[in-house]
Amino acid sequence: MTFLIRRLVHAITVVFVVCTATFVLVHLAPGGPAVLADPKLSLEEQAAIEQRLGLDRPVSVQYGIWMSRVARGDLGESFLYEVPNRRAIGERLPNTALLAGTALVLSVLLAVPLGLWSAMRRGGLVDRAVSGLAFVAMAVPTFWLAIGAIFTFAIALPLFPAGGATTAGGAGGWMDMLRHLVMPALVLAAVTTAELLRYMRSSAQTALQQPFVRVARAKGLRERAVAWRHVLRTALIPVVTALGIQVPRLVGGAAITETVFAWPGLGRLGVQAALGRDYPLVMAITLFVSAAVVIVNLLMDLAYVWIDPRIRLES
Amino acid sequence: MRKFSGLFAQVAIAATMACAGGDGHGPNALRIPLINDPILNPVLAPDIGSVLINKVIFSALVRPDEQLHPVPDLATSWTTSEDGLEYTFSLRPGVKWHDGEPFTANDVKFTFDQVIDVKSGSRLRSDFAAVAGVDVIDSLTVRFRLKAPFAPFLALLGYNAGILPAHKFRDRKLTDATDFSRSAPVGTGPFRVANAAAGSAIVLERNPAYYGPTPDLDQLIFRIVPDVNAQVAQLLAGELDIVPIEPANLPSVERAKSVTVVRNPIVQHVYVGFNQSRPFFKPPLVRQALDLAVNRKAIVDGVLKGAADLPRGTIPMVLSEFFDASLPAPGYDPDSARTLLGRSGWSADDGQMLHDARGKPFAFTLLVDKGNPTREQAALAVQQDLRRVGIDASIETLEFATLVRDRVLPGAYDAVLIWWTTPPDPDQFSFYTTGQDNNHVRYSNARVDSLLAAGRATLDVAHRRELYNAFQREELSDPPVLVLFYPRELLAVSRRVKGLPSLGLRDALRHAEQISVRR
Repeated sequence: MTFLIRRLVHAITVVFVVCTATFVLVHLAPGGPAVLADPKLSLEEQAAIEQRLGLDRPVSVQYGIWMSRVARGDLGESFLYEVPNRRAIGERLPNTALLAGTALVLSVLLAVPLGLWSAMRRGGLVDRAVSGLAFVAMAVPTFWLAIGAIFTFAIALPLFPAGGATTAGGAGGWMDMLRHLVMPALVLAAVTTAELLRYMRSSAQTALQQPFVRVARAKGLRERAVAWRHVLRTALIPVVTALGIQVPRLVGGAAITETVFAWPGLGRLGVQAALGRDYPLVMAITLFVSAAVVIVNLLMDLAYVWIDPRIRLES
Repeated sequence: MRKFSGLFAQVAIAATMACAGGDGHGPNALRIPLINDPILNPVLAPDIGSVLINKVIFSALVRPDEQLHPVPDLATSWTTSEDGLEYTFSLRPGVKWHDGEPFTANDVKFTFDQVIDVKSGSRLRSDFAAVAGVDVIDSLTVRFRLKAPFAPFLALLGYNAGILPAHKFRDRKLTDATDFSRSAPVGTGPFRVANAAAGSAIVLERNPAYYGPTPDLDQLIFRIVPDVNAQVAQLLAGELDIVPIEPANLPSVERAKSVTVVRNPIVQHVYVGFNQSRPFFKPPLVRQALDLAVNRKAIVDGVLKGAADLPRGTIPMVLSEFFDASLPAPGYDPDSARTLLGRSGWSADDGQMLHDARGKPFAFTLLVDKGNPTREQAALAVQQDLRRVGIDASIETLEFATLVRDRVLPGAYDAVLIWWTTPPDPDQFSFYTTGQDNNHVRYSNARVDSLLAAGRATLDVAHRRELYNAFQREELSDPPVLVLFYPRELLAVSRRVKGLPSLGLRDALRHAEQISVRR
């Protein structure tokens, strides 16, 4: 219990520091809100917009206002979209959750068995093929992979739609959604799978050196039983950590995949907010994503205990 | 694992259905990309994407015809007072808003009260700064009072000034009506919003109560696709129908059989602006020399792949009524440029780079916005041409918003490659008259001041033409900016699309009811 309380205090501090740093950074960034970057604006119009958006006050006052609003659960209003940030994030979150969730599940389902196999049969055909593919997936820029996928599977061989989350103006339905999900999810999963796979392979190798594996083998257990019952659990711990790092990256940072596939997610919203210097929206997304990271890390800590009984949470 | 093989089987089925689907089914829809979620309110709309979609949802009092002359739309006729200070419009009777309420003169008054109120969030205020007030004469007659005669007035009414429904804003400000500007706007145009999904698409459907010819399209869909390469990919995949492209995209769309490219002139001039509060850009002779030093034809042919016209001053050629085509095309003559620079005190004894009497080199920074390959390449070409006459221009690229806000608006720059998109009217008073907010190059020429002031105050077209022709001639000896070209808008259009007027997309969409698509 004390562990949880301490971790919560840590979590809130981390979120606070991240948000404050982001606030300073976005205001230090050159340029200003895109709504003000119209060469046709007269000085009077510029002044009126600044006043309406509260930009005419000193940055320290703006910070105070922002903090007090956040403390009351108010994430402010977007400059670009003229809507409450809570709504802007809420509209995009389900799409991001769907895309990131699918990509994450796909990569775990691919990386764990393949990584284990590669470790058990080091240097074998599967190991070499999988490692080679993993390096390619990590080396190729996501942008290129995504455009390549579109040209191959939407234009040359029209199997899947080139972009969007649904057919606009169409009947919709889950089948339509699924068709749109396939390519972005696979592209997004490619990199995550490659990284998880390498973690899985090396931690499984480490586990194979452990005395308990030798004992298991000495007992005459079959290799498959050794792998699934003994190696897997031990090897999963670093993988869970890696997974914990991937989650926030998928939630907040699938921006490139989302942009190329015109997927209406949070990553794209964040990039557009940053490019448009939409300070309130940048802050709201930062707050949201950093809170998500902290919560996921907390859950990861709890997951270790469940995976490996040797680990104890102590204050 | 069995569950997943099931999933993959379904994916395969879905894929097969995708192949089979497509043409011949579903509604008759035209699909156009936007790069971001638009603001569905013509008075608040700050960006080109919002402007485009608002044109088909919100009608205006007038609209431009294919020669860009204002013709009746919500107004059926109008009269102008002798002194040019009053315009009285008769409004079209029987027009209904998308929600069924009747359209009246009160809506027009409400809209323009907001337009000219700097506190309303209006982005049209500078267009209508000449409007003193609007009076409702009766439910179908409205009178505009102007502070001074203002010739561009009708062109501006048909440009971005869609009319808003007063009844939707009885108890709230424009900027507070989030649902209106995001998902549920109410206009009088040929299309109304059926469905708006943030970040995804806005689906418009035919307005059955539209007062004009019934639109042929069942749906007009604006899909949010932020990346231009992705837009082209979606066009090639048959998921978009009209995509504005860059010259660099031409090879990939010209190969496609299903797509044709149109190159329509637009009311825009792309230029290099020299900040004339910097001493070395002050003398007209220096700006004449710079004008001669740049090989525009090479830029138009090489960078724009021919999708632009050679300029003669700042008034675009498409405004043919006011454009003096008899003036000589811009020369490219580096030797004369050097001579003129020599006469302005810039010499190069070693035959290389120019410097003044005190040995200070002719060196400056040329700003260009980041991410647009056409403009970045044009900036490079300008840099190379200037180097040939001994001028050292270094290029700095910045995001457009940063470039405008940190540098151009405060005048903190030497030179900038930028453009003006204007309404279909030759008025350039606010750009090139001494002391105006939009005169970012700090140009000052007394004769131009009086010509441009007279030009916007003169309603007689023949007299107006003389004034702008005189302005064009004055620009030859004292160029306000170095006009590089008049771009043409490159639109990659699916061959399904019929009836697209040969105008820039923003004006073409004012005629959305004429457009059809083959199923």
